[in-house]
Amino acid sequence: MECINAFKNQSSKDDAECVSAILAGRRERFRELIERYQNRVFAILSRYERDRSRVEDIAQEVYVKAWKNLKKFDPMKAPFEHWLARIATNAALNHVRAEKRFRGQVPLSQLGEDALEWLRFEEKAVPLQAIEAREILDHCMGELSADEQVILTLAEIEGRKSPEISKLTGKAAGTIRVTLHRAKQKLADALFNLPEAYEKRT
Amino acid sequence: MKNERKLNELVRAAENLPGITPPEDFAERILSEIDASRESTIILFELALPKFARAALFIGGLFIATEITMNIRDYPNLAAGAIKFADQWDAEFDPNTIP
Repeated sequence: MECINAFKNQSSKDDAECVSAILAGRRERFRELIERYQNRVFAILSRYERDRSRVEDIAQEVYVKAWKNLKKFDPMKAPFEHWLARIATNAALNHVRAEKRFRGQVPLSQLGEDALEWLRFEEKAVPLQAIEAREILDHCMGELSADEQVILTLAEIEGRKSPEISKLTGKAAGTIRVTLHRAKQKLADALFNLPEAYEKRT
Repeated sequence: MKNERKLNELVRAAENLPGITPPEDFAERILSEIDASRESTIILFELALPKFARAALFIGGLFIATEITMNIRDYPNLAAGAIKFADQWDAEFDPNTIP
């Protein structure tokens, strides 16, 4: 554990040193920050968007925004990784809001027999395939508001605690807990109603 | 909560889907995007600002030249003209002179 903390501290120092060098005019050092955290940024964004080119576009926006606001980064307040994760989460939130406004709910394509069985029956031994699970989840998420969607993803899928979500989204911890509870309830209802809706459609 | 077990199962299954990985030239793309935005800022500074500066310099120069010319020819200068104009303005609205 000490070893991990020491590694994290060293990494934070490296990042802060890198940011200072960039601000002093060594623009090429920004490449180090991009390469160090690009997997992390893509992992965050992939939770909200499955289309590769869109994820790349949003990730690009995230880094350009980080570049433009680099002067505002304060290593005493938070490590660079957290600061960048916050920018990525906000970009994801804006993306989800825009998608909801322009595209509405994600349509369900043809589900496989196993997925349908899984939906219909309470006790089902066959495990759900990741791709189908993601599709069902994305569809049911359509019942949630953008904020509910992001908070639920951060809490349930990324496994983050309320104080951390609060830092990432800028919302109060109490609001996070209430929103999360409501989001889970809505998602459970959507899942419960899905088999009937799907059968009606087909 | 109804369906909670299923909901957890769904979330755990969805988690197993691998995320999208960045393309190999991702850093390169970002850096060229940044360069492009810097170039547009430089264009603004190099092209637009000197024009504004020249226009301001021209107006300032014109003002000074007029002032000097008027002094040489013994015309009342602009400051004196402004004071005279202000006096006339005040006199116009003087309650004693308004019928």
